[in-house]
Amino acid sequence: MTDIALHPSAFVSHEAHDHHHDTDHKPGFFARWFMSTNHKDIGTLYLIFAIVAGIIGGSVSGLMRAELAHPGIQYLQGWASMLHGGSASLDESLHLWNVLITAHGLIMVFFMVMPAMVGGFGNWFVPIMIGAPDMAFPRMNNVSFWLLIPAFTLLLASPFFGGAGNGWTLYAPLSTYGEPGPSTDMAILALHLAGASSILGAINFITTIFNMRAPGMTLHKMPLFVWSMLVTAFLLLLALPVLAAAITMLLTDRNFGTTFFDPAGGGDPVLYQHLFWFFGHPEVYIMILPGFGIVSQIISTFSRKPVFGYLGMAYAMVAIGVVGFVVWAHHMFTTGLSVNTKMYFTAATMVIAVPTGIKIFSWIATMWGGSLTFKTPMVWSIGFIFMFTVGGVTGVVLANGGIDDYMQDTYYVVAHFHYVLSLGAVFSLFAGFYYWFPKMSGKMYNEFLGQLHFWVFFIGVNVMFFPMHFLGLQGMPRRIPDYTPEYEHWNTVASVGYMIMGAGMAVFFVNLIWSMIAGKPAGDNPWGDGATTLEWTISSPPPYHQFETLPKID
Amino acid sequence: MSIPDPVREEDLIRSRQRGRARVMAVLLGAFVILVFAISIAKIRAGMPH
Repeated sequence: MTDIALHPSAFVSHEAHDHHHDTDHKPGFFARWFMSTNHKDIGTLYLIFAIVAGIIGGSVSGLMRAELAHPGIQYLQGWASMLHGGSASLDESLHLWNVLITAHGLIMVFFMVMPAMVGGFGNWFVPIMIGAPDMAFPRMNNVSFWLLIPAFTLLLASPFFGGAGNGWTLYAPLSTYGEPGPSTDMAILALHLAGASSILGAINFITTIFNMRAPGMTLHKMPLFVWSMLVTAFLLLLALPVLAAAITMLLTDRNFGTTFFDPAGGGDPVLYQHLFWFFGHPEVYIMILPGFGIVSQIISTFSRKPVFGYLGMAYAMVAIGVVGFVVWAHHMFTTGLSVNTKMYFTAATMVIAVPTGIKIFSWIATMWGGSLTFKTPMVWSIGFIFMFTVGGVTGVVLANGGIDDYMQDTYYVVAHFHYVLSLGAVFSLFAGFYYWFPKMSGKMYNEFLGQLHFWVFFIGVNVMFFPMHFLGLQGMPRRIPDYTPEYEHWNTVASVGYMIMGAGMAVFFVNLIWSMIAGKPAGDNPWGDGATTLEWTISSPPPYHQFETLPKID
Repeated sequence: MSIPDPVREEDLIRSRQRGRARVMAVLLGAFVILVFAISIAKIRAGMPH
C-alpha cells in the first residue's frame, strides 16, 4: 500500500535530531492546552471533547431507551417537571421527547463522531503519516477546536430556554414559525459555529495534505487513512457552506421576516429539505470515510500484508465522495417527488454500493492468506466490516423509492442508520483508538479488557439495534415516546441491549484509566512488521515536534 | 561543484510549502464563501417577487 519504506539513513538522522535538540520542549500547562498550536495536543483535545460529548449523547439515548422499554409515558413528565420546575403538562413532556431526539442526533453527529474522526485522529496522524512537522495552519487549527466549545455550550444550554425539538434536520416550518423562543436559534447558532470549525479544519487538511508532504511522499504513496481524510475534507468543504446557507435562511425567516421557507411569502419548506440533504447525505460519508481509512490501516497491519488493491481502495473513496453528492433526495422520497425523479435517485443510490463493495471485497482479500493476529484493533475492524455490511444491505432496501414509501419514518430506518453510523463509525473509532492508543500515550492498553469491551459492546448493540428492523417492519413509527402494546416485546429487548452496551462502555473506561495509570510501555512499534506507516517509525509518544529534519520516502 | 547546505535546502522547501499553502487556503476560503452566497442568491432568485 501506502506503506512507506522509510530510508534508514533518514530515520537514523531524524532520531538523532530528536535527541539532540529541544524537539520535546513543551510549553507550560495553560499555554499547552489552552493556546495550543501543536497538532498532537489539539488532536488530544478533540478526542477528550468527543469522549465527553459521547458520554452526554449516549446518556440521552439511555433516557430514550428507558422511556421506550414499555408502552405508556413513564418518565417523561417527571423529567420535564425537573427541567422546567413545577409540574409539566403532557404537551411539555412530549416536547421534551423531541428535545431529547434532537440533542442525541446533533451531539452524536457534530460533537462526537466528527470531532473524534476528523479532529482527533485526523489531527494526530495526518501530519505524521505524510512526514510533516505539523498542520499547514496551526493557529487556525486551534481556532477550529475552540469554536466547538461555545457551539456545544449553546446546544447544551438550549433545553433550559424551552428546548429545540426540531430533530437534527431542523426541518421548516417547525424550525421557522413552529417553535418560537430562543432555543432553536441557539441550536442553529451552535450548528453555525460547529460548521465554521469544520470548514476551517477542512481547509487546513486539504492544504496540509497537498503541500506539506515530505519529499517522495507522492499522492499514490499516501496511507489510505490520509486519502480518507483528504476526501472527507473535500466533502466538508463542498457540503457545509450549503448547510450554513440553509440555516442562515432559517435564522432570517425566524427573526428578520424573510420567507425563504414560508409558502405564505412565496417560499417553500421542501426547498429547505433539499438544501439540508445536499449537506446531510455527504455528511454520512464524512462520518464513515475516515473509518474506512482507519480500518484499512488496521487490517493491513494485522494481516501483515499491504492492503489489497491500494489504488482501487483510494479511488473507491473518491467515487463514494462524488456519488454521495448526487443522491440526496433519497431522504425525501415521500415529499411528492415525481416518479422519474424517484427512479433517478433510486438508481444513483444503488450505484454507491459498487465502490463500497470494492472496499469490503478488498478488506477481505487483504486478510485472505495473511498472517492474521486478532488483537483488539483487528476484532473491532472485523466487527466494523460486519456491521457496516448489515447497514449497507438495509440501505439498499431503503434506496428503493417504492419500498421507502412504506418504510419511511419507521424504526427500520432507525435500525439502518444506526448500523451504518452507531455501529459502523463507532466501531471504527474504537478500532482506531486501540490501534493508536499505544502511539499516542506511550502505554499499552489491557488486551483482555479490550477484547471484553468488544464482545460485550458487540452483543449489546446488536441486541439493541437488530430488533428495530422487526419493529420497523411491524410499522412502528420513529420519534415517538409511546406506542401500542404490540411493539413492547422488541422494545424491551432493545432497552436490555442498551444496558449491555453500557456495561461494555464501562469496561472501556476501566481499560482507559487502567492503561493510563499502569499500562506497560508500548515501544515505538508494538504491532511489528505489519505496521509500516510513518507514525510507527517515531517514538511512543512522539516527540513534541516531529520531523524537523525532513524524512526521505523511498 | 558546491554541495547544497541541507539545512538551508530544508528551510527553502518548508517556506515554499508555506507559501503554496497560504495561496491554497485563500482560494478554498473564497470558494466556501462563493458556495454560501450562491446558495442564498439562487433561492432568493427562485422566489416570486
